Amino acid sequence: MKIKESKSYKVFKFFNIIVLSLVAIISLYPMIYVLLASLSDPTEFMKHQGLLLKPVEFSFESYVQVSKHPFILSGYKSTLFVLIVGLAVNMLLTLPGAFALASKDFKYRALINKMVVFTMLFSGGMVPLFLTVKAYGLLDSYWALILPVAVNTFNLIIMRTAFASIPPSLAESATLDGASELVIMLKIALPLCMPTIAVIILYYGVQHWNAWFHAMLFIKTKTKYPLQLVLREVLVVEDTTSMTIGGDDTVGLAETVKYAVIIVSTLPILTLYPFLQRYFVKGVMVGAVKG
Amino acid sequence: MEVKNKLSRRAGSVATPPFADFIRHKWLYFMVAPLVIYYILFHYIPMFGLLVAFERYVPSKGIFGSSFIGFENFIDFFTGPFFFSRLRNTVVISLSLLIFSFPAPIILALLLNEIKSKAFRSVTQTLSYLPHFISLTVVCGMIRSFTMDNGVITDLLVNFGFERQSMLSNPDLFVSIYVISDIWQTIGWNSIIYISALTAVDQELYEAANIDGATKWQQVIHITLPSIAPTIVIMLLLRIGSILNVGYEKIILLYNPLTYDTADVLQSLIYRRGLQEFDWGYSTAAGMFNSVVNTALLILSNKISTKVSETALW
Amino acid sequence: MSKFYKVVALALSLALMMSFTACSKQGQTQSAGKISADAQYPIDTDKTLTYWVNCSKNITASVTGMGETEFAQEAEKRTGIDIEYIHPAQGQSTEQFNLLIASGDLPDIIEYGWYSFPGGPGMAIDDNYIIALNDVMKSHAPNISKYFDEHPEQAKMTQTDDGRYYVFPFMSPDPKLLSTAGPIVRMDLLEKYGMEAPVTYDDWYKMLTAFKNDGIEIPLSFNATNTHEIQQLFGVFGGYTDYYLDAETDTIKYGPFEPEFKETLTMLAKWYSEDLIDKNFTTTSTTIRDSNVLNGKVGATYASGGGQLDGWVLNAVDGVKMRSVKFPVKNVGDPGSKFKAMAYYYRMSGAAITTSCEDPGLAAKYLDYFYGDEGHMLVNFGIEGESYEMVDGKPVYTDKIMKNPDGLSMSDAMARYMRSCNSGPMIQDVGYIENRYYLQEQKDALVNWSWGSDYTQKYKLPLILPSKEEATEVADIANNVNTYRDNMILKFITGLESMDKYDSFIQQMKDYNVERGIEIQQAAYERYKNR
Repeated sequence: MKIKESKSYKVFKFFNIIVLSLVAIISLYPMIYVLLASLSDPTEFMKHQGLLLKPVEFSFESYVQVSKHPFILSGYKSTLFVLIVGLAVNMLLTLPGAFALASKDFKYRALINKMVVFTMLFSGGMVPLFLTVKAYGLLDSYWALILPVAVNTFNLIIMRTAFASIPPSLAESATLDGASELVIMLKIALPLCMPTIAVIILYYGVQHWNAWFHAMLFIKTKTKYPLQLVLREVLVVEDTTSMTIGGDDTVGLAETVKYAVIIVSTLPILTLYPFLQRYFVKGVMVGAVKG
Repeated sequence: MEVKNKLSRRAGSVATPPFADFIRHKWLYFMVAPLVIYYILFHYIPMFGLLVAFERYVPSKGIFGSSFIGFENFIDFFTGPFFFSRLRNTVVISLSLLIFSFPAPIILALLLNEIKSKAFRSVTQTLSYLPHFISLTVVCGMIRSFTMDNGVITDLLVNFGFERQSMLSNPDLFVSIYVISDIWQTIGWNSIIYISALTAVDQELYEAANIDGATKWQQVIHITLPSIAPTIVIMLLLRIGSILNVGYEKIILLYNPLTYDTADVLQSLIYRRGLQEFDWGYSTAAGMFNSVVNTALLILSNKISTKVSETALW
Repeated sequence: MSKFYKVVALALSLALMMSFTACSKQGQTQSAGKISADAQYPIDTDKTLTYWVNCSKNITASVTGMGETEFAQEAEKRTGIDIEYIHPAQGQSTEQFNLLIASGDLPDIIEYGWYSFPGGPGMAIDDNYIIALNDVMKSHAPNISKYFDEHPEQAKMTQTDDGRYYVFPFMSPDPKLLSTAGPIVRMDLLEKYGMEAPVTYDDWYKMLTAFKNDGIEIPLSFNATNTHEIQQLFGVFGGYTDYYLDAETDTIKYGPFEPEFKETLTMLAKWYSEDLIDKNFTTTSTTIRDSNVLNGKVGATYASGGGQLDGWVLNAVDGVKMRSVKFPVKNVGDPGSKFKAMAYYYRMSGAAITTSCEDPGLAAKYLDYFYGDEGHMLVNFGIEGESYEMVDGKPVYTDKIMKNPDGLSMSDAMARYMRSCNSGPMIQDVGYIENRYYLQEQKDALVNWSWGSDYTQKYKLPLILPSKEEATEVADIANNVNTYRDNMILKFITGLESMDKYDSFIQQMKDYNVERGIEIQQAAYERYKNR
């Protein structure tokens, strides 16, 4: 169905493309900068100032250094395990939970919703969390990275909102046909909410990928460190508590290595989005179910 | 032991509802049970830690063995010489984020929605969320270097008649730099949720509007925005629920003693005082103050929202 | 698009895997160090001690932890005691230390900056985390006991007020080890102008003005982005921003209340207004400064001799000669810089034995080994014939350190063989820095920067400890005052606040109870003297 577009709309479309292109370029630049810096000669990079448009004296030196790091590979392994198992746990708890909390038939909806939101506002803090996880016997285990973050309240609320926006008529007619609430969730609610499910998969996935704090608290064995904690060790400034003497390091090497580590640890997760993006295509799901 | 008691009490409230309701909606109970258990185990049980706010906490004596000192930590926090100026800075930065940074992803999502070319749309979308993935240390390092008196951004602004200066040394510019860079970091990532909400808008509505001769602008106002309003309201409520939490990491990476007057916020004050010196009592008390204020604001805005838009957090 | 991503991800992980298998075989070198002649070692025991210590980045650059270093393996062989190392995540050691304390699961030995333990090291003993070492040192640690007997002043530094030892300390008892950072100037420009190396503040002013007139973009580059750096800046130019010991009256004074401070502040404000100081000095970073220096944009600066000066000497653009100079003084003939930055003999850290340790005697014997003659050489220089050789009675690094065959940088190679390059329970040998600073420019810097150290030493606040009751009070005062003081200092320098406000600045600090702070410090100093 094509309707003649007004002149002002054409002008708008033109500027829209320009504005969005600018947003894209400005957003892309930092990643480009990091990539170019990681491919630069460490010493020459130190002398460089301002924007980078190409590597300063192309060199793979930084990647060679990163590959020598003893924990990058085990970091990948830990992160992948936590990501896959963690995502499964997230979904198993969040989807049914959100569905029940969105259902008007659930008697304790209001109470549990309040209980959930309350945890966003108040938390016991780092040491009590550590002591509880220790009491559950989870220290130094991957489960300590999965169970304490099994549900993200923010994602739960997003999911709940999506379920709540499904027209009640759909569920009602299914109930009349004798479908249980489980069937309604699996057959009607989940397919209808695919775009939101894609979003929370993305949010949970990236959250697992970027997580380091809990690993810092709960994991002792360095070979179980997730990638981001390894990355953090590379990025942080050496502790001053031990009062190290003078600097060390070849000038500049540390800088470009930092950038190389960022590239190595970021690229894989960037591949997640294009996979999920297909679910954001306008109206496909809604139409399919209704049709 | 304490733990077990609490657990059974909580679980009990779920497991023994009036029987009829349980039979009828047994699936709903099964669905929500793991969730409730999770929240009890990993959120409510560790909350005994809040007691620290009322104690002179000594780690070796534990939370239940340290001496109780009432509201001393709170008084200490409120009567510190910087409490009010830092509270003001926190509110200024937070409100600026709410006004400028919160709507930005919504606008981006709406603009992307008007793009017909699928390729252009998905490429722009993918690129726009990249800054989210770059570590804060690196992002702030770039901001610092680009806003120096000979930095790239300063050079650009000088062309528009801006005075050449080291921008981060100027207390008056701090909030702008903080907010603008926040938009840059979060616009793409935060737009994902709105983009997904837009996919749920019924396309037939647009077709009907086209037939009625509605302009594009009218369609946005009357169809698109109302359709994603619940998402916007929920996001807004969540944002209000953390209004006093301005992340200290970015503040600390960007500020310096010269800009304390506008840049130092409650969180960085607590960080310097509480976390670096491991004064747990003080930092827990300060955190609790934040939580209480946030809760009050959230309850209020949730009430307003329930009345006005029928969308609510609970 | 997604296909492209997949390919990139796959290629990256493959490349990584290959490089790993290639690297995992290195670093298995067997050490052939000589067997200890001392009858005490190796000790016949099957016990393993757990040892919590921060692991330097230089170690993880090539192996997974301290246990895999040649140093640790040789130490185990020689002492006969197996050590299981526990490392906190790098950069998170303070948090993890506190969790360690909070969780109650203590290892046998904890190496940490115990001097700065909240409430003081005495508190750590009273609260039952670590043990007082006096008895166990007497019975099981002859080497450190002998050292303390011979150096009572140093022994005093490592005690609590009531005379308890709490660590096997990290000591650096040589001025050359304590002043490893200092002023550095563009010597090539000075030669061009026919100027001598600057001695007084006036000389510096003339030099900086000459730089500026010559078109040097940043005559004086300095970072003053936090309390510590601001203190350094003032220390170089004759003022002090915190408590110090006034040698003439033997009393504690607060720097900003003294006339030198105002002079320095006025001088720096003048320099800033004349564009002699980097306009970005409150926001810049060492990385940015490095790049400015290497490009010849900086006339003078303040930096470290290892890591910065050497890099600049080797890598700066043609003709730029960055060279160290002595710390400036007010008048020609002054005995030295009163407030230059200088570390203490006792580096405020060391290895403590915890209350969980079942055999404190064994732990003490292990730690004490590094204070004996053989252990001293091992911890400072590594293994003779491997990492060092004796030349004319002095230890000299071999090529394994200087030009590592596996391509490790000098610091990374050193971290495999010795602990003197970071910290540890030991008496740091001056030979370490003489070897480590291998360029002539670096050796000159050590001489220049340690000039007048005896004078500086007299004015340094000793390593006093506030009492338990005073600890919180003194921290509270410092918190409020430092925030306010740093803010005002920078405002005065940059001209955001005029010097007319100086008196109200002083008054405000008094309102924040600095005078009470001085009292507490004075009392702590009296207790220190009576240790």
